[in-house]
Amino acid sequence: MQKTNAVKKKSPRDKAGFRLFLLSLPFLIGILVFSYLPLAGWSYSFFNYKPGKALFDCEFVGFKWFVAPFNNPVLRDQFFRVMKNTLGINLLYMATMILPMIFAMFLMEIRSKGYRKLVQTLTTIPNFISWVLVYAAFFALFSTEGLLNNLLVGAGAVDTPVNFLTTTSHMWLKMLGYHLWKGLGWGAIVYISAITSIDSEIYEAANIDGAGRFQKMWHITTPHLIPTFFVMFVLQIGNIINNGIDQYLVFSNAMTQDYIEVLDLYVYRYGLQQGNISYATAVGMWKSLISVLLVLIANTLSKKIRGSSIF
Amino acid sequence: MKKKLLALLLSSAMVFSMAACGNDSGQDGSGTGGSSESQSSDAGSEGSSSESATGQETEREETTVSAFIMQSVTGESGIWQGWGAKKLYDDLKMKINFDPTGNEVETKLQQYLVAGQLPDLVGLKGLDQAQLAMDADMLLPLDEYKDKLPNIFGQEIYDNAVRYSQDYTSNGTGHLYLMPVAIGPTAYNSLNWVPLLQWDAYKQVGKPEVGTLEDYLDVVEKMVEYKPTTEAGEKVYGFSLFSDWDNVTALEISTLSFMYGIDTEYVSPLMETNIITKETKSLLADDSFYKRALKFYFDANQRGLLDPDSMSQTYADVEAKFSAGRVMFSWFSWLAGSYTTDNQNNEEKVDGMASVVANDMKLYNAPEQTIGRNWYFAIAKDTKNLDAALELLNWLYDPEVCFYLTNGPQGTIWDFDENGEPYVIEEDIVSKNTELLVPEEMGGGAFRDGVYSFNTLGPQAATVMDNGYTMSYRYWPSWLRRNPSLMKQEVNEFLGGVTVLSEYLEPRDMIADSTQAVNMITPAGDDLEIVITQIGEIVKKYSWQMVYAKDEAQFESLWKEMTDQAKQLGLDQVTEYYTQEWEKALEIVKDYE
Repeated sequence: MQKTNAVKKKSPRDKAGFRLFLLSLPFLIGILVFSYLPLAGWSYSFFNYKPGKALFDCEFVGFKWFVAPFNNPVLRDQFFRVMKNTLGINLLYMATMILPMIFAMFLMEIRSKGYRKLVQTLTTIPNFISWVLVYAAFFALFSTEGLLNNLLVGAGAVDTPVNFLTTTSHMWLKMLGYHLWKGLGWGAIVYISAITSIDSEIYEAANIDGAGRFQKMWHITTPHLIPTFFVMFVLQIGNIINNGIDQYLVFSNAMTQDYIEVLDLYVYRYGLQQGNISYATAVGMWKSLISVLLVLIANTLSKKIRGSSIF
Repeated sequence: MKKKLLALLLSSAMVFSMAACGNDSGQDGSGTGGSSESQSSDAGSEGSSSESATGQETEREETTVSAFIMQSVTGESGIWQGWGAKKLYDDLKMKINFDPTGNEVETKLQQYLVAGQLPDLVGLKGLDQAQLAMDADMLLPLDEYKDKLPNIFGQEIYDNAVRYSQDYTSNGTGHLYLMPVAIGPTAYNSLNWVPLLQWDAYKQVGKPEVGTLEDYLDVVEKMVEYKPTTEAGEKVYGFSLFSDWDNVTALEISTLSFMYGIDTEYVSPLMETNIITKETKSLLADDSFYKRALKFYFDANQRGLLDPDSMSQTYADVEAKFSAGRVMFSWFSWLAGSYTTDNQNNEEKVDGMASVVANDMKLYNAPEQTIGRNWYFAIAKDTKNLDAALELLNWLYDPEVCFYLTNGPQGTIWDFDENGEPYVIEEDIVSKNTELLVPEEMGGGAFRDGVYSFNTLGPQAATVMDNGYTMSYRYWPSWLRRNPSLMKQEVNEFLGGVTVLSEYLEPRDMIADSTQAVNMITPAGDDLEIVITQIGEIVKKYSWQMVYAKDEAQFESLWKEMTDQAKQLGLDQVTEYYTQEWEKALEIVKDYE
């Protein structure tokens, strides 16, 4: 009896800990399987991999594929241009991350509930349209035969139609425009939910104090949303190099390619499309390396400026 | 009353849906019915042809063979349907389950290779793709099954092809892994690259003579002045290109070289191989034809004749523009959309895309291919249906089957006339080859369903069969003699009273007969392949920028940038490799001519 008591005395914490461990085990396994196991695929970058052969039957080439993007000036330029595009476009995205928040704040100020819902729905829908369809829509608007050209020619503003999809000026800003058009409403959702969770008593107190609408927005809503904004911001930093590929793939052509080819697209074009899996893997690893570096930098900055950090 | 109506509607809907089900099962039923029917016809044909096998044939089990045919241009997949499939079922009680091909088949092949399993029957598009499959050791050595492939081994027409494949495309093993297709003579008057102009507009501006490539600019400019918009009010362009077939170069631009007997595809897309002088040089040399072609379209753009969408549109867009009569110039003999078919017999205004060849052109004519072209059929090494796959391959190379698949069933689509000469009975079925016009009792489907899923069969279309006539109806005397369309009549008259274009070209020495050495180039190794890809990305990008350059100075500076960068990437290496390969091929080809 005593013995078991002694065991019991010792165990509750351990037992609870073990139970919690068991509870989290499926997730740990999931992370292991889906996030760490695929890293074994990195080994492909050290070989001259040929599909159909076993990896170890292929020739071992060491770091050949890692230095390949820097082998000669043309390739170097290409790689750095791609990096510039990737970072440039993403920095623009980050600089405009405040927009969904502002949008949400103004949206919530709309008094007519029906109209507010309508605006919210209409701005959220583009998020669910794939980039291919988005491109089709913009093609219908901006191509030589498109709506815009028909209007311009019809109004006598231009003589010959302009193919807006191949003009290269302000490419990054255009990409930003498409990105915002697609993501603004969706990005606002998290802020809308944050706004609804603000204690209404605070607003009532402000009303009594005689605060106007803009004063309430600035002195109450904004400070309440800033923490949410920072969480979103730091999350985005981790993604700074992940532009995704769809948007740039559909809008890319011989003219615009120099300005919007981002790293993911580069990996796709040179690696997967040409069937060079080893090369694609190596460039992908460069990407991971740069990502980790950027996150570390952002983390240090965050620690210094805000005093808090992710790790 | 309303309720009654509703009930009536509902019940009728139910009856319909049940009928639909019934129909479905009926179809299945007819499938099996077809098989019993086929068995009886099997028995019938066996009675006449192979008596020995009759006993076994009746117990033959139905098999389904999976197939991945890269060269097939169809996006369709699934069980092979139609009259060709019925023939296969009747002959071998076999079905083919096609895996999807469509775009980016190269990637799909790689996925099969990575997975370590190929479908039973594989069609390989190009030696480089075939090489991948061979390197992975996933193809069956067909020569070890000679007794099961009597239609391939010991057939005179395939002899050279089999020998070449064993000697040069077997990774040095001497096995037959790859069985080529399109083996045989060049077809008469089947040029792929022919400059076409919109006939009515050309007539209206006085049929000006075209001396050389650049003269088309003047002619087309006049034609566009004459017809600035279509009747529907859409803008007409002189030239319209597309970029979605670009591989290493701006393909629709480089392809103009074929009109001067220069190959820019088979030997290497980065080389210009003159098949008349047998010289080869870099596509990016300063005196290359490619630069002239770029300049041609640059000039077209300067004059406002080039469709501004050329760089961003796809083949389908351009085809639609041709169909609507919105483009004046075409560079493929077949690229006219439906414009020719729609207008060539329009008595009020005879129109269509008509061949107008510049005087100094030498149109590339495909070579006689005793070794076939670089497309192949092969069988997966680890196939679970070995016997069925071999039987199917043997069936596909049976000349009688090829004849059937190309021309359709005798008595329905074609027949012998009283002199024993074949002629097409149902021109409608043949010319509307995508419509489901083949009679149901023959298996149904559209006329093209016979060959479409394979793209190309063993013998070339112009191969003369045992019956003394070519494999394809297109070269039967009766077909060549058939009534030409109104436009064709006018064009033929314009060309000096000929019946086909070749009759006009031949006496003027305007045809460049190619050599099958162009099919004997060993693909570049991995490292060089990467260099080619990298150069290709540069060339594609700059080519389009050059065409749309602001002025000639920019055109020249872009050219210089492009060639400089290509050289830094290793262009000279590529040129050297293909020059050597070409010289080697010119030696090897002597054994096969």
